[in-house]
Amino acid sequence: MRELSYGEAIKEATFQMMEKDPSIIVMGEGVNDPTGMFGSTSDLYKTFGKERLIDVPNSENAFTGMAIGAAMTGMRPIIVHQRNDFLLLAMDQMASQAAKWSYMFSGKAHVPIVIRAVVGRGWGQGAQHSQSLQSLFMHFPGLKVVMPANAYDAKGLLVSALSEENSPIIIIEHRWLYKAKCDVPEKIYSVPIGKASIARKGKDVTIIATSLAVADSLVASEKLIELGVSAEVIDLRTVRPLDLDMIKKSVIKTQNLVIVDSGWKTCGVSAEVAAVIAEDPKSFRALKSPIKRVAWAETPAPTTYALENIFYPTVETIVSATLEVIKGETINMESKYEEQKFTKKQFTGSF
Amino acid sequence: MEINASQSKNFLYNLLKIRLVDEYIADVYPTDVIKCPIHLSIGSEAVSVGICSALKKTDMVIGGHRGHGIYLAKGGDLNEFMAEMYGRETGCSGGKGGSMHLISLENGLLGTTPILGSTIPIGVGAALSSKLKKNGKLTAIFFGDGASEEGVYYESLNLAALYKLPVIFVCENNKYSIFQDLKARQPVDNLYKKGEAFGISGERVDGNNVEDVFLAAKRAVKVAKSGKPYLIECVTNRWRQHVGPFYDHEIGFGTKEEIEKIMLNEDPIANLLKKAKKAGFFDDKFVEKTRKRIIKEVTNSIEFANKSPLPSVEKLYSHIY
Ligand SMILES: Cc1ncc(C[n+]2csc(CCOP(=O)(O)OP(=O)(O)O)c2C)c(N)n1
Ligand SMILES: [Mg+2]
Repeated sequence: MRELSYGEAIKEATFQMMEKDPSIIVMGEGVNDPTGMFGSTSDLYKTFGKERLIDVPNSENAFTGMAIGAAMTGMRPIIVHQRNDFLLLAMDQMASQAAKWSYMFSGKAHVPIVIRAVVGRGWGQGAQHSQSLQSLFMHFPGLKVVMPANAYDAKGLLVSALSEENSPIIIIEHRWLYKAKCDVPEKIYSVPIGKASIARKGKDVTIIATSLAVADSLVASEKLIELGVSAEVIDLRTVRPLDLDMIKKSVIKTQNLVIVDSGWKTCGVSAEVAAVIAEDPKSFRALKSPIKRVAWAETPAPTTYALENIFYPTVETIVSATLEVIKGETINMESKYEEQKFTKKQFTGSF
Repeated sequence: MEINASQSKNFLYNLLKIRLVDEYIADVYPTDVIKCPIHLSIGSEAVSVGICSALKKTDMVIGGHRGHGIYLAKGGDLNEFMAEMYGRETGCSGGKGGSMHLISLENGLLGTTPILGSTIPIGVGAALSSKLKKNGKLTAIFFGDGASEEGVYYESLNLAALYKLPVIFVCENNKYSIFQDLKARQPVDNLYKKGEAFGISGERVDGNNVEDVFLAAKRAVKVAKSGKPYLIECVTNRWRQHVGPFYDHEIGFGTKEEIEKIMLNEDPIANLLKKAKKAGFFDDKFVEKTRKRIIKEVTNSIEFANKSPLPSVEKLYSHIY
């Protein structure tokens, strides 16, 4: 099989679906510029023209509304943002219009828009260029929220969003995953929205993760093996709706749970997953120890690297949190492990 | 109104300071000592210098992602600026902000933040405060041609006009939003007229000519003092890439010839020198002296930044409620 990077996989899905479905259009600030949304839309306009690849002015609120209007009248717009933070300018359109339209009118109309937004991290992206807003959007009934963690899923989930769904779908992509490669089929295939996947099988503890945290958790699970702990890593893939079946099944099997999210704890994905497990009698009774959550520090992201380094949890944080769940004691990993290799230095320079 | 020699010398000092500081940052950036995104003010120095020179120290300003010029032109401390670039505790934002989040309250800079258009209504709010307190302070709001596309800008124009607030809207039109040309984003090239529907007068000036910007700002100050907002569009250029230290052509966009032509014909510093020398305000020797003085300041600021500590771990949790 052939390998593609996350960014290339998104571009391929967009290309193939646009060829198939003339109602698909793409809108975003910079979709046709030389960097083309980190490569995920670059040069598409050469094939499909600037009528379908709309490099819009800086008017997030209005062009999101425009996409919603186009969607309810037969188009399938994909919106792309270089950062999650810019979604907040379109919050009303997303949360009060797109999410509720179908419901308010008894399903007489639908808003099949796909909104892609990239999470920035590192190199001093700072408080307003590094937010990961999955929790905010998963709060709203009527939205679906997807967080691909690898190139295969990035393509398959986008295909599903564009062909099998009628709801507004938010896809949260991580900048640090953009260069990560894996096998990606050339043909069009779909990965169902609402289904998690087992990224690694294990028996002692379940680590539930999203997006970049899946990659970190996989590295952590290798270190855990060395320490005699077999971790099952679940990649949520979709955070709304959650794949309750898979989460519960794994927890009942391993009887221990760690949740790792690339976002804040409070009212976050990790809070929701923990609540779901606590509410389910079988899962709750299966737990041998308290649930542990690993997430960002409860502060905005600082710019200086001195603080940025401790703001984000690392592989070591995941390893020690897992050992704590299993052994019931705090373990300081710092001295044992050098910094993780997977993501380090993948993103330097300005943007 | 005529420009005098001392004003002209001040223009030179400020233009050259922004230029030399940003050139230093561009030079050192590839070595990774500065670890945050940078949007340089090289080529557009006359906008912030012209506007801020017409304001009092107590007047307020606010801006967006491209804030180096604004910070320095409003009198922000250079040591604290450099320390902020280096992520140090002594930086103007304690290292937590970096290049995109600059503040100098002692000099009236309320802050710069990089969500497009977001600081425009905040500036209007500062002006509301001045009006209610009757303290006579003005507020100048800096934003780019790209930020002018955000809906909040038009809402802010309405509010400022409705409540008769002492605001000067300053649109720094460098004709680009990242790689996107203004023509591809707006149907009519009339940024200075955007306030008309709200009864806000505006004018377009050559943003590469500090005297022109200054004189426009003086007119604006007069109008704003009478309780009416005013809008100035400054047409200028950014010489370097949108974010980062290089030239666009070095990253495969545009041509070397294009930018060299702009640098040759539309350089705010060269424009000032031409006029000042003709008027007999100063000579080459004075320029050289000024340059040396600034280089010393820059050198000191680098030393200050290098010597300053990085924020300690517990600072991560400070300043959160
Ligand atoms: C709400 C929002 N959308 C998009 C961006 C990404 N962005 C950062 S700067 C920029 C271009 C802004 O152009 P302009 O306002 O003209 O300022 P310039 O960089 O040209 O000085 C864009 C699109 C952002 N920071 N905020
Ligand atoms: Mg611009």
